[in-house]
Amino acid sequence: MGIFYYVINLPLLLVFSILHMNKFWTEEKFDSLSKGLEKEDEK
Amino acid sequence: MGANSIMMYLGMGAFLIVLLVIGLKAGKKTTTLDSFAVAGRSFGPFVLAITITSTYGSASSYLGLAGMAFKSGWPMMWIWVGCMWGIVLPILLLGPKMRVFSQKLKSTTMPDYIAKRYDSSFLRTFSAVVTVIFYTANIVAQFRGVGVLIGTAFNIDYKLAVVIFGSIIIFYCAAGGLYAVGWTDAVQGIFMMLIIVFLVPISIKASGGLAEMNMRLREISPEMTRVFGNGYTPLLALFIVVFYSLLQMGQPNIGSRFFALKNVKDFKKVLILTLFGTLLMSSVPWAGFAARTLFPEITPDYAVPTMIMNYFPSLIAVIAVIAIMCAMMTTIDGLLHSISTSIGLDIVRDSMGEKDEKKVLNITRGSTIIVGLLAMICALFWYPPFLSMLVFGALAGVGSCTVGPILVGVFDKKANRVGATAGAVVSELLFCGLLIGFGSSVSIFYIGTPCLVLNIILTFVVSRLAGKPDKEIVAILFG
Repeated sequence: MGIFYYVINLPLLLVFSILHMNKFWTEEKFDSLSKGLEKEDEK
Repeated sequence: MGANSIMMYLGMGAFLIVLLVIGLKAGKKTTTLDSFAVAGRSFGPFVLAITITSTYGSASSYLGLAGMAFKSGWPMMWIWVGCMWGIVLPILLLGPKMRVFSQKLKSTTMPDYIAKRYDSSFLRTFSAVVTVIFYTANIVAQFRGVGVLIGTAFNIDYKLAVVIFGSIIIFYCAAGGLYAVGWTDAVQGIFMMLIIVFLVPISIKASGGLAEMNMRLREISPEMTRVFGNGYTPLLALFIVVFYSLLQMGQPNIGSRFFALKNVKDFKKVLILTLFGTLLMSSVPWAGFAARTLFPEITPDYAVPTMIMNYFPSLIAVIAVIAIMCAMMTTIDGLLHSISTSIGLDIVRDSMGEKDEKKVLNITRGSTIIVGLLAMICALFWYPPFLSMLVFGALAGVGSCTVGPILVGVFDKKANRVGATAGAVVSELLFCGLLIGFGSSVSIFYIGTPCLVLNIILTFVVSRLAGKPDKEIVAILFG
């Protein structure tokens, strides 16, 4: 179980996190998500 | 009184003074509802990460789970498999969107967020009431834990320990809202992480090294080092992983932290720091494994205290006691904050229509004190079976109400009020029915997991069969 947890599960979690961040947490995606908030701030 | 005892009292005294000072400073910044509920959306990534990690880890991380490790060996790490995914997935899937959506909807609590996402005051009241009931019961249990731990470690009366520590927590929560909660969590979280840095290597060394420890565990029982064993079947493991993966997504005390981040682009740093902190916490079971090989006759929950008493230098032992107490305090203050904002903002301001902001802020502070005192009284004098049942199901009880509306709502433009209401009400009723029917005779994973999954399915499916999404809200959120 130690091998499963540290050698399989944790690297899997890290890879998933990195892939997700690279695809969905880009500058463009964050800017697109926040669109509309700048107008609110200006008001 | 020996030098060690004097050091412990002085250390604890200094720590409590720090918490009081933080409460006072936070109180000066907490002048509006926005500052009380979401700290003015001003948290940096370090404070956010440490408050998420330390709130996630309660005394069970240091005592209960180490006790399970003592009893069952390596198969119990399925719980940490679930917990690691359970802390990462909410941040990855929900964090940035909820942060931005909450600002677009001008919402500062989870029930308010759900209500505005679906334009449903019923969902606000329903989720707020569920939160208050289950979280209050959880606080009672945590107060009892504080009383037992501090009373034992410092040789003072249980009731006095509950009163002293409970009063300090109630004070800084009422004074400083999420500012106080976040800043005290940061201090407490450092202690929590620091002790693990000592606990793990000392435990491994005491048991003769990793290979020796595992060999001794196998001699006790071959199942102690296997992937499945000692009751941890493949089916239970699956339920555990799904349970923890979904559980935190619906918790108001995690949601309010997402709302509090200053810059949405800082979620990357939040994730990395939270991953690191949770990984550290997940190594506490090593103390349980070591204790099983060294002290096989002790009560399982005493695994970590026993290792501390036998192998830690005096100064580190003081830090260890403070760290375990911090684990309880970070959980209590997070729950208390969610309860008070549910009462003040969701119920009094939004459901009952009170418009005077200053009055609502005073009511919110007052409810922190009243709920905290009620929980303290229960911890001191009255702990009936139904309370322990509520504690057993606390987090799942709230998650069964909120996880579907939250998770589906950030991804699915078609999610609507009818679907969210169906998910919340049916799953919550099912959970309560199962909890009353089976109590703690059945694993919480078998009771909670189906309800969490059902909530998500119902929210998604019913949204497509009935009702329509609010076009204005969809346009605001999704552009």
